[in-house]
Order: sequence, then structure tokens, then C-alpha cells
Amino acid sequence: MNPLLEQFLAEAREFLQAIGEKLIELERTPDDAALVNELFRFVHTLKGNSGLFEFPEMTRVLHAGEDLMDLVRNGKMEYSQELADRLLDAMDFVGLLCDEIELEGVIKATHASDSAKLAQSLRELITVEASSADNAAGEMAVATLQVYELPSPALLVDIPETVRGEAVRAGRPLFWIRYSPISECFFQGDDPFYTSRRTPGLLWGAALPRSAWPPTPELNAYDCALDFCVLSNASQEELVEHYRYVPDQIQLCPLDPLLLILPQGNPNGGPVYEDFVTEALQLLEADDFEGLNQAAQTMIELSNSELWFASALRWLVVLLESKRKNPTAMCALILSLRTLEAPHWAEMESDSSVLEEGMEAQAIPSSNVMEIKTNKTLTATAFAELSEEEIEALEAILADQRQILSLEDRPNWVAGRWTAVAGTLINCFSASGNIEAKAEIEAALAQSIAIMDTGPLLQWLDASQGIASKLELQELAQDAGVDVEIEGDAASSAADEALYAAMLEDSEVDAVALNGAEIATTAPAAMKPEETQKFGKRTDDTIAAPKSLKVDQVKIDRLMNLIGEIVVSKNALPYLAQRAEDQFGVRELSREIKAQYAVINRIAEEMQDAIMQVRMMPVSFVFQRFPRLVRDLSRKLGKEVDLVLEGEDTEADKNIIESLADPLIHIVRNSLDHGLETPDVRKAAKKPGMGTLTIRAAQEADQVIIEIKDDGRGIDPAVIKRKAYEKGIIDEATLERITDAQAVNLIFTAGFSTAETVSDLSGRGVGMDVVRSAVEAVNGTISLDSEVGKGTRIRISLPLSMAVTKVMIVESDKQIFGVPMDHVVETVRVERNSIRAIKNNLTTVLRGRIIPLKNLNTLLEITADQLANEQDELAVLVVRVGAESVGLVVDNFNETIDVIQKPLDGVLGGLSAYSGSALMGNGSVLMVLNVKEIV
Amino acid sequence: MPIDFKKKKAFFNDVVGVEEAEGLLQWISDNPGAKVDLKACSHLHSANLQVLMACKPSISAWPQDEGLRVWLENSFIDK
Repeated sequence: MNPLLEQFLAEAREFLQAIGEKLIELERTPDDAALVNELFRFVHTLKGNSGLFEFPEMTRVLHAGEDLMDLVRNGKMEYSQELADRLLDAMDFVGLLCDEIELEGVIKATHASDSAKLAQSLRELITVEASSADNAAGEMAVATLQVYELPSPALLVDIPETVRGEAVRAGRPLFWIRYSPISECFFQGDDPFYTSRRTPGLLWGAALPRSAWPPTPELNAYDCALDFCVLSNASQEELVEHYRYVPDQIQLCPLDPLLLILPQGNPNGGPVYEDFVTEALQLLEADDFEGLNQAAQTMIELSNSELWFASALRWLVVLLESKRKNPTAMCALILSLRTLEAPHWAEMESDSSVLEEGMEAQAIPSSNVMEIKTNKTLTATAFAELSEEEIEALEAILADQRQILSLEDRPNWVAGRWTAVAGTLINCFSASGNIEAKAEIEAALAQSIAIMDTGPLLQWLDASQGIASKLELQELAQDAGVDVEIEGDAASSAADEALYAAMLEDSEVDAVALNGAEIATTAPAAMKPEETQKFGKRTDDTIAAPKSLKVDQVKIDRLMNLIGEIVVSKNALPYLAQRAEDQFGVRELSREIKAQYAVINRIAEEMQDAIMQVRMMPVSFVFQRFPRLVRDLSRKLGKEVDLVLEGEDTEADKNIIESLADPLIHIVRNSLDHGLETPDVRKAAKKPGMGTLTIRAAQEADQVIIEIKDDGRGIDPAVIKRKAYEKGIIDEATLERITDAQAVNLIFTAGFSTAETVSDLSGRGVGMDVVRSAVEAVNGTISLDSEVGKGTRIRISLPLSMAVTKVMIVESDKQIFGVPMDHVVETVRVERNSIRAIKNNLTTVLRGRIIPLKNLNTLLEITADQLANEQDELAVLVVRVGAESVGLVVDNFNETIDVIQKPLDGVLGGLSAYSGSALMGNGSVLMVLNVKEIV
Repeated sequence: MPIDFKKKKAFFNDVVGVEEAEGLLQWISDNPGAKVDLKACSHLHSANLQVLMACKPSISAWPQDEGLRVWLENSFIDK
């Protein structure tokens, strides 16, 4: 697999996850525009990325999803659960494809139909919704394409007459497309020529140099300097669809077919034509198109085809053969035979729609095509500029200006500041159409500077604030010129930015003073955008280096192993020091070794800590999948559930977090299936209809605590007891004796299930004991408490990290063993005579509590007795097993050390008495006892 | 090879991709007066197209591909 694909897969997964999250978030706040935007961006990027590879199945689905989100984003469609469901399905499908690509490298062809189906289901939503909501995605997409000026006749003349003739004769709406690819488009993998060649409904096309070609040596082959002109008779939707990746580089403009009627040729002629003109006009008058056609054909045969006259006649025939006749155009054409000059179609007052079937956009007199188009842009811009948002923005700008004016400080560049404010105001007001305001503002500014007080400017602003009301602005805007608006807007925003930048940098007085001076000098020049942009920081000036690295886990694991080895070999130094002293008698050296050891020890510990930090992951990694899970399950079960996640940023070692995933899912499923009731049941029990499921993570000392709490029906200990007894998990004696709290914990026993029926969610009886063993596998513990009718709480506590274990070394029968410090409660020396035997069990009383004692030798089936020290005291290591304390009688205690515990494998794997082995500093192997198993 | 550069003639074959443009430009500037044979060409990338349009080598054979030929003829008219 190539690195690009690898990267794509990794990113795709992230995107899918994020999309899922956003969708679910959106379900809570369907009106959050920012969220919708973000969602769109994710889908859009993912689609774009997928396009890099040959995964049409994936791209198709994502494309449909993107279109859908685009509509939602633009408010053309309502967000709905249905939509979320389908999108989630689609994303699941994409996830599936990703898995397949990762495994097989390709997507199986069998997915094509699924993909089509999914895309179809997404598109269905579009058509259903969009057609109801003011008609069609196409139209909206079209709106994004700007309409530009018509091609010059000089260009159209280049189109062969036959092509133009065909185009006019067919009578279909025509479009003129000018595709001006951006100059670096080749680097983006575009081939504009190819795109143009594949334009739907292509009638004619040509590439034009954008400007005169530079001399060959200066030519840059990879700097696109071509424009493409295309004449097409496809529908607007098709064209928009075709050029959907480059809408900003396209000028799509409906072309009046009449504009194509450009007779060409030798303008020689004579009075002989006059007869024909008269005759033709008569025939036209009588609506005898047939006769006119014949007459024209005859004339064409008679005349030299090179002549302008013949060309015009051919056009006449074209018009006559066109699907719908346009007598006005014909008349103009016939009349032109007299002057031998092409009719001025653009000026002709004709109902050109006669010629153009089904071409709504052109159902306007052709003479007005240009004008109306300009008007359209104008009004569109005017309204767009002053949408609700724009007015808000304007008000915000004005408020900012007021704030700036109200600033109390008077630095020496204050005049510059005011000038900038005035510039902004002028731009704002001229942008909203109030051009007269300029003079007033300038006057107020002059006054302000003269008396060194912002009074006049503020007053003017106050007075004008009323003007800035929505209605008036809109009115004003209608009178405003487009140019003024756009320029003004750009300038004002630039000035605004500049000012902010200046203000933000207040601490750097010098820089600010400089900026201020600059403002002062440039501001009078009507704040031209290009000048104002020189100051004020632009975000893209600062190159942000990525702050995080993506590292393969294998590399981190390797680091982890290496640091483990360092820890072990560093532990050898104290032995070395000991030997230097004992065997060779050089105390000095021994001390130095110890000093060095202390340094290395410190560094190694820090390093270990740092690597641990790298491996730390927030629990959100596991939590993030719950919203989706809970949503899906609750919908399936007909329950209403509010999922509350807390402490998602709590961190723990990656392995621990990963091992948590499955158990947690199990628990959540159980809570939803057995715990939470349906809304009816809940209401009957006087609980809110919506159940709450809380998943909380927190760090307590070196443990991560995860709590899953629901307010469902709880677990009835009586039922558990009965079930456990029925299944033979507990005997009769236990049944009598067991407490309620103990009883509910029976659900962690293997083979236990309370569910009456097996559903696809839970109830097979393999759930909770698997959860328990998974948690215990990473040295965690799990407990449960529950109250009938109130709810259930499951508490999982896990170590933060499992890489390094602290063990206490104990001696027994001249062997050493490690006991994990997690289990060690205390170490005591107990006099032999204070040990009592109750039946066969040894016990002692420790601080008022009876502690059962067990000989380690006995537990390990070593025949030797435990040794006591000179005072006849036995070494007792009090360990905690579950909730109970047990005293292990050993021969002696040694120090505690950090070890990297390696699991036993191979033949030793079956030894349950040991949880693993570790390498000691002196090279010997330490067996770590599995206390739970041996006691 | 998408383009076979002979002594005084370059033969275009099938689809001529974007990466050929640099070489084509170099070859044309090294061989002024050279000719281009597009007979077997079915598509050439825009970059190559603009090199041809800018350097105006004489075309010794137009493409057999009708669509491409029309496009090229249209584009070279403006010379």
C-alpha cells in the first residue's frame, strides 16, 4: 500500500468519526449553522480525498452526501432524523470500504450496487426536499455561477458558419462558456482542455491565449495561460454539473442564437438583389415560408457562395428551417441584404423567445440581455450585501468604531487613529449607499483633529446611527453602484482589520506608533485597499508549523521497550557498587557509581515518564463512539435516553484505553437493554420519560475510574439470587448467607444471565464475566451497586499505565518472588506465639482485626517451613485480595523495585500462580506472583 | 512514448500527458522550424496545447481523432 493511501485511510477514519459525532451533535441543535458547515466541510474534504484514488463507489456516496449537506448548509433543506440516519448509513458504508481497502487493497465490485443504492437514497432526499423547497438544487447551484458578458462577434465569426447554422436550426437554448483556468491549475491535476472537450452538448470549442505569448525562452509550460471558449446546447444544469469543480473559473452565459447569425463573405453585389428583397418581403408578409424558402434556395444556387449575400441567404434558410419561425429576425435579415451589413441583433426589439424554445432565461428582448444581466448582478449584490448578516456586520463595525473613538488614551498618533476610523466610516456608508456621508464625516474628522477631541466624530456617528436601520439601508443599497459597494466593502474591512491589529498590539508601543503613523499617512488617500493591507497582520503570513506528529504505535512501543531495558540495566549499577565495595574494597568507586546511578536513575525516570505521556490517550477515544451507539440502540429499543459524558479528557495508557472499549460497550448495552425502561414504564414509575445514562471518567491517584450510571430499574438482588441458585452458581448455604450487595455482583460470574429472552443486544450470559475478565486483564477492578427502581452504577478502576510495575521482593526458601505493590497493604513481623490456629487455618490479630495467614511455601507447594528471624518473628506480608486482607507468611522482605513485567508465554503460560516475569538489575529473573490466584 | 522526438519532427501518440510539456517546449526551442505530427494523438494535455499554441511549430499532420482535430484547428486559427 502506498503511503498516500495509508494516509488517506487514517484520515478517512478520523473524518468518519468526526462526521458521526457532528451528526449526533446536530441532532441536539439542528439549527447550529456552524456545526452544519463543519459537517459539510468534513464530508467535502473526505470526498475530495477519495477522489485521489480509484474508489468510485466511495466517491459516489460521499458526493451524494456532500450535495445533501450543501443544501442543508444553504438552508435549502431541513435537517432531519431521516437525513441523519441515511448519512450515518452512508458513512458506515464508507468505513466498510476503508476496511476493505486496507485488507485487500481494492474495493470489491460487489459494492457498486450498494454504493449506487446509498447514493440514490441520499439523492432521493434531495429531490424530495429540494423540489418542495423552492425548486431544485440545480437552480441553487446555478446561482453560484456568475453570469458574464457575451462573447464578441469577432469571436463568434470564428465559428464555422455550418456549426452556427446547425446551432440556430436546432433551436435549443445555447450557452457560451468561457473557462479561464487558474494559472496553477496544472499542479492541481486539472486538464482544462480535457474538461472543455468533454463539455456536454459541445458544438464548438477553442483554446485562446489569455494574452500575447511571451517569447519561447520565457514561456512556462506549466503556467496555464489558456482560456477555453465553448459553445454548447446542453442544459444549464448539465453544464453546471460538468464544471462543478471549477465554478469560479467559469463564465456561463446564455447565448441568444440570433447573435450567431453573422453573414460573412465578399460584400460585392448589385441591384439584382433588390428584386429579391422586395419579393421576399412580400412572401414574408403573406407568411409564405415555403415560397420564401424556395426563392432563397434558388438565389443561393444562382449566386457565388463566397458572397456575403449568399451567406446571408443561407442564414435566412436556416431561420426558415428553424423549429419556430421568427419573422422579425427574417425581416431584418432580408432588409440587411440591401445594405449588405449584418443586422444589429443586439439592438433589435424582437421577441427572441420565438426562436428559443424553453429558454426561460432568454425570454427577454435580446437587446436587453446585457443590461438586464448587469441589473441582475447589481440587485443581487445589493441584496446580498445587505442581508440580515451584513446589516449585523455593519452595526458591529460601527459599534467598534464608536468604541475606538471612546478610547481615553491620547497617544501622539491619535490623529491617525481617528483618520482610520473616519476612513472606515466613509467606506461603510458609501458601501451602504450613503455617499453624501463622506463629506460630513470628513468635516467631522477635521473638526475632531482641530480640537483634539473625538466629540464631533462621535456626534456624527450617533446622529447617523439611526440611518443605519435595516430598512433605510436596503433602500439606499438599491441606488448604490456595484463597484462602489464591492470596493468600499473591501476597503472598510481592510481598514477595520488594520485597526484591530493596531489595537491588539498596544503593548508594543513603538510598533503601534509606527502603524499609527502609517494609518495617518495612508488614510487620507481614501483608504485604498491595497495600501491598507500593508499593515495589519495577515494570518497567512505566519506559517504555522504542525504542532502534532502522527507516529506509528510500533515506534512508541519500541521506545517503551528500550526504556524498559534502560531501567533494568540501570538497576544493575547498585549491584556493581556493592561488588566494588565488597569484593574489591574500593569504597570511593562504589560511592561514585552510586552518585552516577542517581543521575541516570533520575533521567531514566523522566524519560519513562515522557514516553508514558506520549502513550497517554484521552478516554474520549472510547467515549466518542457512545453517542452513536446510544442513539442507535435507544431508537431500536424505543427508549429515550440522554447520554451524559463527563471527564472525556481524562488520560490513561493507550493499551488500557483500548482494552476498555469492548467492556464499556457491553456495559452500555446492558444498561440500555436491561436497565433503562421504556418511556411508558418510566412515567408510570413517576420518573421522567427520558432516561439518563452517565459515563464519567476521572483520575484518582494512579487509577482511572470509569463510572457508568443509569437511572433505570436497577437490579433486584432477590432475582439475582434466585437465578444464580437456579443456574447452580451458588449453593443453598451461600444463598442464605449472601448480602444484597454481594448478590448483585454475582452478575459478573460466568454463565449468568437474567434476561428472559436472548436478544441481539444482550442476554446470552457471556456479558458481564467477559467484562470482568477484560478489566482484570489490565489489572483493573470492577464493582457494581444498584438500587431497585433507582438505577445501577458500575465502577471500573484501572491503572493509569501498565508498563511499569512496582513490585516488592520477598524471600521464601531462598528464592525470591515479586509481589505487585498494588496488592501489598503492609509488612509486619508477627511473633510466632501470637499466631493461632483456627481449625486448620493460621490466623493472627492485627490491630483488632483477624487476619488469616498462609504460608507462601505451602501455597507454592514447597515443603520447607517458613523461617523466622532471631526474635522468632515471622515476616507477614499483608495483601489485599478483592475486598479481603490475607497475610502471606514469607521468610524475609527485600526492597521494592520497578520492573517491566513480561507475560509468561509458551509452556510457562499455563502457570496461573505467576502473573509474569521480570528481569532484575543483576540479570536474574524475578517471578511475579499472581496473588489472587494463589491465595 | 507519448511523444517520439525524431530529428525534425515530433510524433504524438495517444494521450500526451502533462509531464511531456516541459520536454516538448525544450525540444521545440532547441529545434526551431521543427514539425509536429499529431496523427496518432487522441488527446494532449492543456500544457502541451499551450506550448504548441505559443511556439507555433508547423503541424505536418492533424489528428485522426475528429474531435481533437476540430478543437486544434479552432485554436490555431488565431495565430
